[in-house]
Amino acid sequence: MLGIEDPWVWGGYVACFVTVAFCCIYGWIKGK
Amino acid sequence: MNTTIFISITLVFVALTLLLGYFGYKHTRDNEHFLINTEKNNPLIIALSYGATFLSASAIVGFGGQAAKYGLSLVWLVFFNLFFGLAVAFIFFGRRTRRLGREEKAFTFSDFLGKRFKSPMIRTFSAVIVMVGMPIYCAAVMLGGVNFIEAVVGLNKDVVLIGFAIIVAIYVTYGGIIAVMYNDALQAAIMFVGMVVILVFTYYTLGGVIEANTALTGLWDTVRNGGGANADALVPLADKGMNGWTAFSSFGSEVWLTVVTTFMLGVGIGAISQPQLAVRFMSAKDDRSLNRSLIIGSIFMLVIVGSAYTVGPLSNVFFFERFGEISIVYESNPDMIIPTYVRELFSGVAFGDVFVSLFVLAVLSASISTMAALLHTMGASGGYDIWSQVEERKGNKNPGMSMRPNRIMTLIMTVVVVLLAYMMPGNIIAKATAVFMGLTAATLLPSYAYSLYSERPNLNGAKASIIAGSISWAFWAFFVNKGISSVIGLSRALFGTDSLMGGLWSFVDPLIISLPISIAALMIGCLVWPSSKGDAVEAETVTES
Repeated sequence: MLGIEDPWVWGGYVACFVTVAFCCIYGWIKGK
Repeated sequence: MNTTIFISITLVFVALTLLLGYFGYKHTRDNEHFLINTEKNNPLIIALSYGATFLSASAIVGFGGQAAKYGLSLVWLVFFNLFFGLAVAFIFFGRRTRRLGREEKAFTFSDFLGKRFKSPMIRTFSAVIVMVGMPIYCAAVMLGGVNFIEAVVGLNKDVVLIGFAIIVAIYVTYGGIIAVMYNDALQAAIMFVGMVVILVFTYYTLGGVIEANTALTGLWDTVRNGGGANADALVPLADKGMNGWTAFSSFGSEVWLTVVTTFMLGVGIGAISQPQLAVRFMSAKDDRSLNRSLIIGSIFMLVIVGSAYTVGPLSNVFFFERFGEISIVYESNPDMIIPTYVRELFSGVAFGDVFVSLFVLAVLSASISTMAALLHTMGASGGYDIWSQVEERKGNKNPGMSMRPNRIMTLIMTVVVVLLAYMMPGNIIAKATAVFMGLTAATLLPSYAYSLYSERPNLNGAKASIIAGSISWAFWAFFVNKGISSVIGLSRALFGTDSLMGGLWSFVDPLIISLPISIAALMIGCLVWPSSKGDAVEAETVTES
């Protein structure tokens, strides 16, 4: 993906974005 | 580079920093305002202060350099920072720390633990850990910033080091936590801009995202089979399990153990029990503030460390295309790879000196923000946690209410940190960070977590955990883990070897061994020596509302 073949590496980027999305949704809902 | 541009920008930055220091000084009425301040905070300040304190020049320069050596797999450290250091820390530790801290009227992390376990011994021990371990981490953070300025701008190292220390000491000593947190927010904004610029410019220079990543993938085989100094640097890494800059290392190999146990887990888990970060939780007005902080905090952390650990490996493509050498050959000390890369990347570019100055300021901000938090924590540990207990034993009433001991201790610790920075060897920044974070996690994390989720925490369990954690961590660090023991030299002096256990064990981080031992000791301690006031029961007063 995006020039990186090893899923163990690009999977790390996916995990980061998923975590940030979770933090944003959680922070938005619980911070209202 | 043109030092006039850098000095002009830096003078504006220093003026703003001291102005915010004065703002803190004017609003610091007593010791409570010096140690934690809930009045002058909002979610944005907390998020940026937490992020800027957490991520120092050690992350950008130290771990960025290690990423240049070991590759993009360090992106998992970004994940661990986000998952443990932010999400778990805020959701499972932050809110309870804030509520219980307020209930117990605790002003520091050590004070919090001491009051939760009703034990001056725990408070003192925790403060001693801070006073002994934190200066090493603080000196590494300082060195990250100083090395950067020396390499990129060419200013004299002594001048930078002393100037650095004086500026931080002034605003921390007089402005207290308000000056520290407001400066953190300013510095975080500069870090954010600097890291975005370096990431975008790197991909732009290398022809785009896919082109750059593909070039990095192909470079591994090109260099390995190409002979010369590049192959000489890579072949040993390949023999130790490395499979490329865009591939994960072989499971269980030397490189895998170093990257996973020291860099990812040591720093990822260790961040949860950092005393200087716990104070940020105590400074929040309410739970909603902490929840809102997660939004800005997560985006900030992703951009700062995500950029650093992506740019680091890509510097190999840049150096190879420009000079025919990979990063670790062009600059043998990993701590100097990112500074050298930034200097070369912008050389000959229009407005290059402005970009370089901006990025140097970003690294300077990263260093200063973390240093200030650490010095504030060390000053409070010495001046509030230890000194006030000594005074109490002498019969003085309310000795913890004076700001003077904290200020004196902050100045003393600044001098200690400067001296340590002069004594540190090269390639130490990332290791020193992992060492301190691992030490605090092994000794304090199980007791800290237990104190949050038990109404009457058992002191015997905590004592067993702290003693077992610290002894097992020290043994593994001083006598088994080569990365640490070779720097300390105790094992070599006593036994003639850096590691008493050969093979792959010598690459396992002490945290991996000592944290399970510390957790087991806590459980055994609670079972064997029940608390005299009855077993701990699930907290009722702090359950989720």
